[in-house]
Parts: sequence; structure tokens; C-alpha cells
Amino acid sequence: MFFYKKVSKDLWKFLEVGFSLLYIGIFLGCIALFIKGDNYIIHLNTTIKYITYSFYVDRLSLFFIGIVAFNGAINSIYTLDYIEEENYDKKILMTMLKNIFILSMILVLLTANVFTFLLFWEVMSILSFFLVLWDFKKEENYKASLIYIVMTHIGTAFILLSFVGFYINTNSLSFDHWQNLSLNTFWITWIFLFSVLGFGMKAGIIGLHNWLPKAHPVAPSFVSALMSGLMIKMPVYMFIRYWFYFIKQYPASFGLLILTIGTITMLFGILNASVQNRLKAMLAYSSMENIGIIYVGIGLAMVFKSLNIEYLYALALGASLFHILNHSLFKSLLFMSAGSLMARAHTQEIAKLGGAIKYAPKLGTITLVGMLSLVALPPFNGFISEWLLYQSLLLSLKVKGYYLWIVSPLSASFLALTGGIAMLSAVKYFGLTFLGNPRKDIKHKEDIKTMSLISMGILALSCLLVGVLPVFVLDVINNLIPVPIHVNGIFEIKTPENFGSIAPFFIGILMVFMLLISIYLNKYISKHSIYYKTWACGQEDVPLSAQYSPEGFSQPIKKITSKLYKDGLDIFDGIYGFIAKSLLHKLQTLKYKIQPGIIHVYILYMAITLIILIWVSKIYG
Amino acid sequence: MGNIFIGILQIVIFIALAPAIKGFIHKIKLNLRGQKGPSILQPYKDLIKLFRKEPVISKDVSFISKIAPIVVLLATIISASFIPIFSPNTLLSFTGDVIAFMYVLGLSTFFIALYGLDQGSSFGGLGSAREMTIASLAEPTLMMIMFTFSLEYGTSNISEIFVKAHSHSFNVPIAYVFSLLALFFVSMAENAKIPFDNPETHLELTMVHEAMILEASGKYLAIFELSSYMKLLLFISIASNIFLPFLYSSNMLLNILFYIIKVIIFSIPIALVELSVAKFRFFRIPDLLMISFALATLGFVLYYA
Amino acid sequence: MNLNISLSEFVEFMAALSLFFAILQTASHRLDFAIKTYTAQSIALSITMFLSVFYYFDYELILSAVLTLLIKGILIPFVMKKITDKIVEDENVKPFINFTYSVLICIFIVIFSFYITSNTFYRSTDNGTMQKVLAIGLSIIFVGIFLMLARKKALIQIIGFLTLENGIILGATSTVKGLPLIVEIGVFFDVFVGAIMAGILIFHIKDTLESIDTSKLSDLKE
Repeated sequence: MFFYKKVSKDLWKFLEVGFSLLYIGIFLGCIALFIKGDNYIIHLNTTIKYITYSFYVDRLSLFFIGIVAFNGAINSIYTLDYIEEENYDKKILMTMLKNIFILSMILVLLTANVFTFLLFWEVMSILSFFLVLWDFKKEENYKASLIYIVMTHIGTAFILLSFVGFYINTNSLSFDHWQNLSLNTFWITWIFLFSVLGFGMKAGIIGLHNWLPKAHPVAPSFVSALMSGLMIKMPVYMFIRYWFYFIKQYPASFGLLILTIGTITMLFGILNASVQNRLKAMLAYSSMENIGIIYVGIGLAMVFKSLNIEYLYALALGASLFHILNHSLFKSLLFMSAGSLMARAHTQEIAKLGGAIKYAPKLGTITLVGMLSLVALPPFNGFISEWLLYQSLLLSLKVKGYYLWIVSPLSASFLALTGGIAMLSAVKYFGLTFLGNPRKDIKHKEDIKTMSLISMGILALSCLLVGVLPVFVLDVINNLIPVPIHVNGIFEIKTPENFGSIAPFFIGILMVFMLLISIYLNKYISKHSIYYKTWACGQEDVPLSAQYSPEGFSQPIKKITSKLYKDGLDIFDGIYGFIAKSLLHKLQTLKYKIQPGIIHVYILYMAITLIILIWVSKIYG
Repeated sequence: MGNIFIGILQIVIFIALAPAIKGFIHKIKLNLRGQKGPSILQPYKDLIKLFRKEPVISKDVSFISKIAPIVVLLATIISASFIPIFSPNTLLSFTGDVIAFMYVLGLSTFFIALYGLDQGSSFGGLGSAREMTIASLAEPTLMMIMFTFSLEYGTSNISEIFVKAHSHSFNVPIAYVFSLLALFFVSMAENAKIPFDNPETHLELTMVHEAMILEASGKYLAIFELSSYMKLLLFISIASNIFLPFLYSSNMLLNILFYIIKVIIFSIPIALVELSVAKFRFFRIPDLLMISFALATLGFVLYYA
Repeated sequence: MNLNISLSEFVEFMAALSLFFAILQTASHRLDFAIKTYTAQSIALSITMFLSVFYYFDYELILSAVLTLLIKGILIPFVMKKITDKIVEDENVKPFINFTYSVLICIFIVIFSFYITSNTFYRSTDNGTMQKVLAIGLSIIFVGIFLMLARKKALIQIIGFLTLENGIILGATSTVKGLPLIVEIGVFFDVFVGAIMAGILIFHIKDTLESIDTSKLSDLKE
């Protein structure tokens, strides 16, 4: 009896370890299958005629499954510590929900027909809804998850409509009959419209992003890590499938439209991120910004593909795929570190945090690595994917005769602007939370434990490694694009026509060298230093809350871009709220007219229905 | 091997020249105001004095304050090793991409802003907030300028741009005047010059860069000051080497002399502008930076369209 | 490296300088700065027209250039200055759209007008100068319209209207080598008289309504 109780108390730990081993196994299997390079397809028929489960494996899906499995494994290791620190009840339920969620994502990536896709997509959405709604007693969580589930289902409806477009043209529901289609303009526009709306709603592009900054801050942190790092990439995967594998020829203006949408999403996301005062809200808007960057790359690749310029299409698509990998790595890292901090301080508000690096230096260093990757500074991985994107934007100006020269330089300038504002948000996040002094007193002042350290440490190390030696990832990506990005040895990346080249390995070596010099010199300098109070204009006993606050930090940027925010809400919330309210009002008045409480009206309805039925049966009888 | 030697020589000359340029600008400003002013070599003496002093470190800091100064200095040196000074053989010429250059400079801005916040005082936060806003608004202009001359020369590698600009068959398009003006604005913004910032006063009304390094003293302050001198010389070098490709010969000593002359030519407008305007109110700075973005776009569109 | 600047490049440069001054007007915080920038813009415009004489070999343009210089570069700013000195107490321009966004919108306007004119001409005839100057003229027109839309004070709106005129003349110079001289003289005098009358009107508006803030005109609505 005692043994049973002990086991059931720790059963979730065994489950987590088991699942993480499963994910590591899947990851290794992906690597093996990728090297082998064949495509596999499996059909499982059921007794019902139209319902078949089909699964399809090719290099693109193996790439994405590898990302999901790697992040899933690390997330499971992290959860071992996190669930204990936050002390959730019903730990087994949480573990099982989370792991089935990750498995459903892997299965979505494997699907090869409409039914299987919709099944696993729905499982993924509902499980993430339950996970976001874990703490259902708070009203904010309840509202956020409601918006999330409604928007996800609207998105699924749009995706269904785009599938209808394919079905009508090919009369088949299976993805492998949909390869390399040539459709007429009407159907291509139909599919384009609904795929942008449907997949965009799940990915979080502008106008359709409302659920993202509401759902991520309220979910438990490892769920936010999974959602931001992995779930919002699933629609991007399907989008790439549609426009680079399924459909062969489409007008270049589609790509330009996606490029513009990506640029606006990027700008809007980062401007909103810089004014958030809660940790995870800022990270959620930053995810929106990164999705914008990925869409810029995809839009460029679409333009080049439709103009049949293969080497540039490969470069842009390669940049997007690289950024997908990088974003999943550093965003998971940042959400996990935010989670650890929140487990100790029990609050997300930056205005109540501060000075965390003094009691949690390992957490601070790891968050610093994550922040440096977010801002795309060398020698970390964000820099490489953004460099590839800049190069494809630069080279796009060599394409004469199309309108790309108008959009590309503006897009590149706005990419630089978002990089700058991302730096502002990162300084605000890291500086105000970790540096300085705590603004309110925190009870659990302890550093992170082993499992968190191992999981986050592996992610941080992989950020550094991918940044310094990106050639290994580029070798993988070169198999997914028609023309490989030129890699010189293991050190140097060159773009086509020798336009630009970087050797991140040497920059990385120089920086490591610089870090070592700085540590050594510091030991020398600190021996001869005096320690004293911070200068506060001669005042004694300055209160700790007199340090700079998060609202104050973002006040300049808020004032400059003043029309975009209204009392902490996004403008889109305002627009949609207004539309929803007026629509609801009209529908309510209509409802009162159709359903008055008068019983005679209801009998009248029944009579009319009976008469119509008899008449119809007479006509068709 | 000879190339590595030339690369190291370029960096050494760069670091050696940086305080002199700052002293020169200061001297012109004061002379035009009617004062005699300190000698041009005064910044060297300041640096030596600061290096000898022991730093006073605040009790609230973490390890960031101890590594940030040196990271800033070395990031500036690494970006300096991308820029050809008198010869295209720089230390990192094989990897010297304009975008890498901008981002390595971004690394130094990031760490200096973190240093400001680490001190736990409100001055540091103030300086960091303002500095990051100005730096992020200056980025699109810099990117547009880089785009213009990358496209012009057909490569984004800085050393190759230098070589092509100095070859004899190259016509300088007059649209460069706009890009040069835009670069001028951005240099003033990034290097804490009037009208963007007044580092001579230490009032919270006027300081941006100084606010972040207010707590630094002794050796750390010396390192920060040296980095800011070098950053100024960096921007002047870009302007002079890429926009004024005159005065180039194959003799190396003559090239060093020409480089010094070009840098002096470019320092004079900086001093003149600093004298003629007052420091702008902070919320007028974004308008200025947007005007510089408009100039850069005009330069690009005139060249390309 | 060579410093040969061809004539067409110089014409484009001067036209772009005129556009730059127009954009600078949208970012001006004070009325007299806007008037000075307008002067600079007109002078750059007259230099463009003067140079394009050597480009198009049409000597009537010299007269247009001199007229632009006299009327738009000297007379009209003088008249505006006198009006400003007499009636305006508060020098600040009150914007509807703040200055940062205004300059950004002007950049989009420039790119948009380059997009509109991009396929209109067969490029290889004259190295694209005509197309570029037309695009610049079109942008100055739109910047003038934007200035009228986005500011509250009537004086700035007049300057926006004058900028619009400048843009039309520049567009005309590039494409049809200038309007016929009679038409141009007529237009000039109309504009001049219009500016004087607008000034007198503003004076009277200020007298009766005590303000030249045009957004207060909506108070007249019942």
C-alpha cells in the first residue's frame, strides 16, 4: 500500500522520463531517415469507406519532426523540475495532456490526407486549449482560452475551405495526389485567400493574432514554450507544403502580398512587445514578430519561385527554415527561464521583480544567452538566419523588371528597425528583471535546480553552437531546397554571385577570446577596487522602487508611436471588439423578433414547416 | 602572413588615432567659440590618468558590470577590424560583411545599455531607455545606406567595396550626397553629439550616453571612453573611405597620411554642426532620424529607380 | 575613380533636393521654418529648370526658371513672412498626424510615385532622367496634398498648396519641356494673387474668429 502511494506520487516523473526517451528515439530516427533520404507513405484503411489514415514521410516533414522531438525531449526534462516548483495538482493529468499534445503535433506533421490532418489538428488545438485553461479559476485565463479556442476553430474552417478548393480540382482527398498542380486563377486565388486566413490565424499574423498575446502569458510556462516554439510553426509547415510542393505556378503578386504581411506583422509585433510590462506577454509578442520574419522569407521565396529564379528562391526558403529552427530553440529557452523565475517570484509583472541575477546567476546567464539570440547578435544563432534573410533581400534587387525593388529595401529597413526595437525590449526584459535590486521582496531566492539547468543549458549551448558552426544545420537545409547555399569548408557561408560571405566561426572564436580576456582582466582589476553605494545625487536611503520602472523604460517609444496602443490593448482588439459588439447587438434584436415568448408564433412555425414538407414531397414524389 | 601584419597595423593605427580625433574636434569647437582650449593630445592624458586610478564599484552590481566594459571595447575593435583604413587587407576581410558590421556594433550598444541598468540607479535606466530608442530609430537609415552602396558595388563585403570604390573606372553618382548626409545624421546620433546628446553636461535633462556610464570610474571609465572615441572614428572612416574615394596611392605610408587628411576633412563639419545648433528636446530626435531615413531612401531611389 | 557628373544626374539631383525640402516642410515645428524651407525648395526648383534648358535645348525655359525664382523664391515668401509677423501669436504648427509619422508617410509617397511612373517610359532613351524627374514631381504634388490634410493651421495649408503648384511645374518641365510660356505666366500671377488674397482672408478670419485653426471650422456645424 505504501509502495503504491509512493509510486503514484512520482508516477508522473516516470511518465515524463519515458516520454522524453521516446522523443529522443524519434529524433534519432529522424536523423537516420533523413540521411537515408527516401519518402515513405503508409495508408491504413478503416471499415468506413472514406476514412483512411495516411501518413507520409519526406525530408521536409523529417526536418520539422526533428525540431519538435528535440524540443519535446528538452521540455520534458524541464517539466520534471517545473511541475514540482509550481506544485500543480493533478500532475499525471498534466503530464499526459502535454505529451499527447506533443505527439499530436508530430502526427500532424506526418499526415497525408485531409481526414488525418483534421483529426490531429483538432486534437492539437483542444489539448492546447485544456493546457492553457489549466488555471481556470482566474477570469483572465478563462477569457483568453475562450478567444483562443474560437479563433482556432475559425481558422480550421478556413483551412477546410482551402481543402475544398483542392478537392474540386483533383477529386481526391489525399495529399500525394496534390503534388505539382496547375490550377486556374480562380482556384488559386481561392486557395490562397483561405490558406492565408486559416493558417495565418494559427500562426498569428497581423489582424489574426489576437489570441497569441492573451493565451501565452496565462498558460503554464512549459505549455507556452511548446506553443510558441512549436505549435505556431505547424501552419507555416502546411503553408510551405501548399506553395512549394502542392501548387506549381502562381502569380508573383501573391509572394509580394505575403512579404508585405510579414513586414507589417513584424513591426506591429515588436512595437507591442516593447511596451509590455509582463514577462511572458513580451515574449508572446516577440513570437509574433518572429513569425513575421519567417513570413517575409516565405514571401520572398514565393516571388522567386513564380519568377523561376531558383538560386534566390533556395536562399530565401533556406533563411526561413533556418529561422524556424532558431526561433524554436531560443523561444523555448526564454519561456522556460521566465517560468523558472515566475515559480520563484509568483508574479509576472516586471515592476515587482528585479535583481534576480544575484540569487540566480545561472538562470541569469542562460537568459542572457537567450536574449542575445533573440536580438540576433553574433555569435548566436539568430544572427545567421537574419543574415541569410538580409542577403536574400539584397539580392532580390538584382531582379529587374518586377516591383520587388520597391518593397525589398523598405522591408530590409523595417527588419533593421525591428532588430533595434527587439534590442530595446531585450534590454528592458533582462535589465529590469535580473539586474539592479529587487523591487519587492521575494521569498524563494534560490537558483535553478539540476533538471532545469540541464534542459535550459542544452538549449543555450545549442544556440551558441548553431551560431558558431551553422554549416551543420545548413547541410541539413540544403537537402530541402533546390539549389544548395554555398558553404566553404566548415567555416564560411557564401551567397550566390559572391555577393556576401561570413565566417561565423571566426567571429565566435574572437568573441570567446574576448570573454576570456575580460574575465581575466576583471580578476586583476577587481582586486584593486573599492565598493560603495550607488550614486543617487547625494540622497540617503533611496527606496528600491525608485529604480527605473518598465513603463518608464518604454515611455519614449510609446510616445513616438502613440496611436498604436490604447490603454494597454492592441488596436485590433479595439476594432474587433467594436465589430463584435455591434454585430451582437443586431443579432440580439433579431433574436427577439424571431423568438418572442408568444406560443402562437411557435405553433405557426410548426405549421409552416409541415406545409413546406408536404409541398416538397409532392414536387419530388 | 604579410596581410595579417597589415591588418594588425591598421587596428593599431586606428586605436592610436581615435583620441586625437576627439581632441581635434573639441579643439576646433573651443577655438571657434573664442577659447584657447586644451591641446589635441589631452584625451591621451585623460586616458592615462584614468587607467591609473582604481575603480569604485557600486554594491548593487552583478558580473555584468565587470564584463560589459571590455565586451564593449572588444566589440568595437572587432567592428574596426572589418573596416579598411588604408588597405583592403583587414584582419577580418574574408568575413567582413556590412550586415555583420552593423550587428557587432549592436552588440556593444546592447552591453552598454545593460551596464546602465545594472547600477540600480534611475540615471542608468534613463540613459538606457533613451539610448536604445535612438539606436533603434537610427538602424533603418543605416541599413538603407548599406543597401545603396552594396548594390552600387555589387558586393556586401566591405573590403571589396573599398577596392572597387578606389579603382579608376568608377563614377561617383551624385545621389551619394543624400546618402552621405544621412550617414552624417546617423553618426551624430550614434556618437552622442549635439543635437542628439550633450555629454559635457551631466544633467538628466541632457545626457544619454553619459547617463549609462555615470557609475563607471577609474579603469572601467577609461575603457568606456576609449570605446566611444573609437566608435566616432569608425563612422568617420566609413564615410571617408567609401564616400570620398579620392587620394589613394599604392604606397602605404602615403595612404596613412591621406587617411588622416580625409578624417580631418570629415571632422570639421561635425564640429561646425555641434556649434551651430542647440541640443534638441528628446521627442524631436525621432523626427530628425526619420528625416535621415528619408534622405537615405532618396539616395537609394535616385540611384536605383 | 572619376568625378564626371553628367548633366542629367545634376538635374535629377536638384529635383531631389527640391523634394527633400518639401519633406522637410512636413517635419517643421514652426511656421517660419516652413516658409524658409519653401523658399529653398523654390530656389532648387528654379535651378532644376535652368539646368534642364541645357538638357532640352528649349530656351523658353530660362524665362520660366527666372519667373519661378522671382515669384516663388522671393515674392511669395516675403508676403508670407509679413503675414506671419502680423497675425500669428503661436508659432507652433499643430499637426493632426505627428511629425514622425508624417515623414514616414512622405517616404511611402515617394516610393509610391516611383512605382506609378515605373513602366510609363521606354527607359533606354535618356537613362531614365525623365521618368525620375516626373516621379519626383508627382511626389512633391502628393507631399503638398498631404501637408494640406495633416496640419491644422491655415498658413501651413497655403504652403502645402504652393508646394503642390511647384510639383506640377516640375512634372510639366520633365515631360513636356515646360508649359507654354503664356500659360505659365498666367499661372504664376494667379498663384501670386491667390497667395495675397489668402493672406488677407487669414487676417480677416483671425479678426473675426480669433484663431486660424481650421479644425475649429467644424464648430460652425450645427
